Amino acid sequence: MNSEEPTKSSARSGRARFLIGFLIVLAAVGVLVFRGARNAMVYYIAVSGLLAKPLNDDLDGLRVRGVVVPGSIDRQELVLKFKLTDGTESIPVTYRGVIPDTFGEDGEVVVEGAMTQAGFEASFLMAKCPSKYEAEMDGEGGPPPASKPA
Amino acid sequence: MIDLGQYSVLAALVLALIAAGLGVAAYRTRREDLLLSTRHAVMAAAFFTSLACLGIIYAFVVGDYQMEYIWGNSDRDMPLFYRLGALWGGQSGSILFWGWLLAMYSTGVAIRHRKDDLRLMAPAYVTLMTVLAFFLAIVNFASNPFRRGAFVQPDGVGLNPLLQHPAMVIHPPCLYMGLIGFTVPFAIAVGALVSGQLGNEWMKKARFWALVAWLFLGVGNILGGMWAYQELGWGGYWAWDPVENAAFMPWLAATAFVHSVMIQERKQMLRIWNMVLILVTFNLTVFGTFITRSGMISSVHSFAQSAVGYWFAGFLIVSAAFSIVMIAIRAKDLRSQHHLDSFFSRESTFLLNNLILLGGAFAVLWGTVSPMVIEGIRGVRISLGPPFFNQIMVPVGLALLLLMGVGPLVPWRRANWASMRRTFLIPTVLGIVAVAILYFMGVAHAYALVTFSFCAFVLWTIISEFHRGIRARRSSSGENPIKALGQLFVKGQRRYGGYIIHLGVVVIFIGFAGAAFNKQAETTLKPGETWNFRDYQLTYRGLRVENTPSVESVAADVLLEENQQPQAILLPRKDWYRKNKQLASEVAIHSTLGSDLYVILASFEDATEEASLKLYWNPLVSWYWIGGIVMVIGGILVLLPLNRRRTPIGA
Repeated sequence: MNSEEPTKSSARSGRARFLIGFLIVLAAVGVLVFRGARNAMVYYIAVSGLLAKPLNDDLDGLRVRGVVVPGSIDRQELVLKFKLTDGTESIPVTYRGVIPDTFGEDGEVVVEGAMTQAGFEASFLMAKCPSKYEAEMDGEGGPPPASKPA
Repeated sequence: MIDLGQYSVLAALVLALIAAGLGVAAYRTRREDLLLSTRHAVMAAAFFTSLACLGIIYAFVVGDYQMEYIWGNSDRDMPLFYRLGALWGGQSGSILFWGWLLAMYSTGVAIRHRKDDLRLMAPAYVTLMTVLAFFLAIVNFASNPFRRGAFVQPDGVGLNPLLQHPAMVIHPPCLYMGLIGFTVPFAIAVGALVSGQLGNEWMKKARFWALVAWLFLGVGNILGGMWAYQELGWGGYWAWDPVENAAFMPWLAATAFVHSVMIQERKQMLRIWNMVLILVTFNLTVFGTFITRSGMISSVHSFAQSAVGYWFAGFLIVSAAFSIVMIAIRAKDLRSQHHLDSFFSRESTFLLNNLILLGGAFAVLWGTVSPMVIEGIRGVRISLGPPFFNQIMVPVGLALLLLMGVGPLVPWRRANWASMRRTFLIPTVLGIVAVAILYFMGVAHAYALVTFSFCAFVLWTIISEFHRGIRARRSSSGENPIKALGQLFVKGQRRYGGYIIHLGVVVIFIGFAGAAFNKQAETTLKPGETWNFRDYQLTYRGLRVENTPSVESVAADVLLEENQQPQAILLPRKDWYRKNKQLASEVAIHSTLGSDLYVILASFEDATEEASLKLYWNPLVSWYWIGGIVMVIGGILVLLPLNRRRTPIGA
């Protein structure tokens, strides 16, 4: 845009320039999206799928979902160890950080991190509350009052 | 009370349908008396929707626990303030509440546009009432807050403790006001498309309502961030969660609209573009509602999965298809004969701003839906976290910030290269000087430096615009500077109010830049021990236990000193809600203009009273909230009827 001529350029060449400008912006956003997606993509994987993978694979940036094995929770100060299961197999998980309030035995959790020889090193732990903000009222689970009679 | 509520929602639904029918009749016959009846039916529907909401509020206040909704979202110990908030705390109540907001908006339209063109307004009322009927149909047939429970309960289970926070009472209404508010400009756009009244008339009406909704949506998003920051305990206010994205995308599209309408007004250009923008904005709000309510995307905000999702899916398909068809039919009439004079002009900066805003919106959309798309195609589940969004949106945000400074400096029509060099010289030098000073002060983060530099640039632009405006008024009318400033806001309401909004954005970006320097640390302390963190000393003085009938609370008593000067007593705590059997951590935040010290009680030992603390040091977070307030002030300055000589066509 440094070579703007004071003479009136024809509408056609003006429009071509706009088109080029638009394409540049679109390409820039496209590149950002593409690059971002490649760098930031995190794969969901099941516990058994994780165990089936050879350890020398690229096992960084994984998200594993499962249920906390009852009786496996070991909390020491800021380090939390527990076993995560998908019903058939289980892996040991180590997590360092603030434990979500909804974390507990038999609760569904999602851990994000890397698989190592010693087990899964989680850098992020998300605990799903069984009833998020509201008990399931519209589903087939039946209205909650029935499950908690007065 | 239950019966009154049941009949009210039914009556409201019937009246909404009647109003829509009357609107159709008024449009076909062009009879003003039928339009008057339509407007009255709109108000009657609003009255019964209000009555239904009052019924719920009354039931919450007296504790009518035979209603499932009341039972599930409140209990006897809850303060009145939170009981009112419980109206929109759950699924079915919040849908009724949406309907009520839309009914209120519709009433506002019926009053504000009572004298306006029938051809434009009749289809607009039909659209508004169709959407209202949709919400009321859900309330009546799918998710009814007045449903009776199987037993009469003596007490409720209470509201989720996470939601018991002042911001949580204000944030959802603001957000809903924003999201549902875009129905109004959409309805007016439909009026224009249906009737073929495609001039500036519709756009000026739609602009007002779009600005109202835009403002509420922005504030709602910031308040949501405040709630997350203080309540969720991960140290931040924005996580690129699908539900946050759902509210952010329409905001971006609407931001593009409120800018591009200025081009249509001045140059009669971009008429298709503006129409498309408002349709896109509305459809994005519907899409956002759909992904939130259907439980299709896992998110911390998801409501329980329910059949309501199908209702919204159907609604989205209908509204998207309708929008596309209407645009296709009217595309020929919307084409403009005018072209831009020059590639280098104010108009182009607006175009660029629009393009980047929409690019950002679609990047966010892609990040939100692509996990589903990829799962559908390749069968692998993936997730795109905050790094994805930050990589895209930081450069997008910075580009928009710079444009905010550049735009007002570039003249309309055609810029002269020599004069441009003069206008750009000072702000550019200022930006570079700001970078140099900050760099030598030890700020060594590229994005942060760029942000501060752009902020300096934009700030200069805003100040010089006010300076020029005041000088011009003083020389023409001899007013004193204060009066001249006041008159700027009256005479150039949208322009100067807009600059105040820009000022708010600058302040917000300063807050964003602070996040580049966030630090975190964690430790375990015995009572009496002191922890040194940067210039702070945190002395842990033991646990404090407090019991109330509903909550058992354990707090870590921490004395905070900065350079040996006592600053505050921090009490991060864990609350155990007996009735919900739920744990809720409450963080302690020491907030100053420079930085926030954010402390979480991670865990504690009952026997030894050892406490593990997690600490976040978040510089400049306060600027984010302050910037939000400045934006609201700017928005109000734009919307207030300051200029009383306003003609019906608008100033």
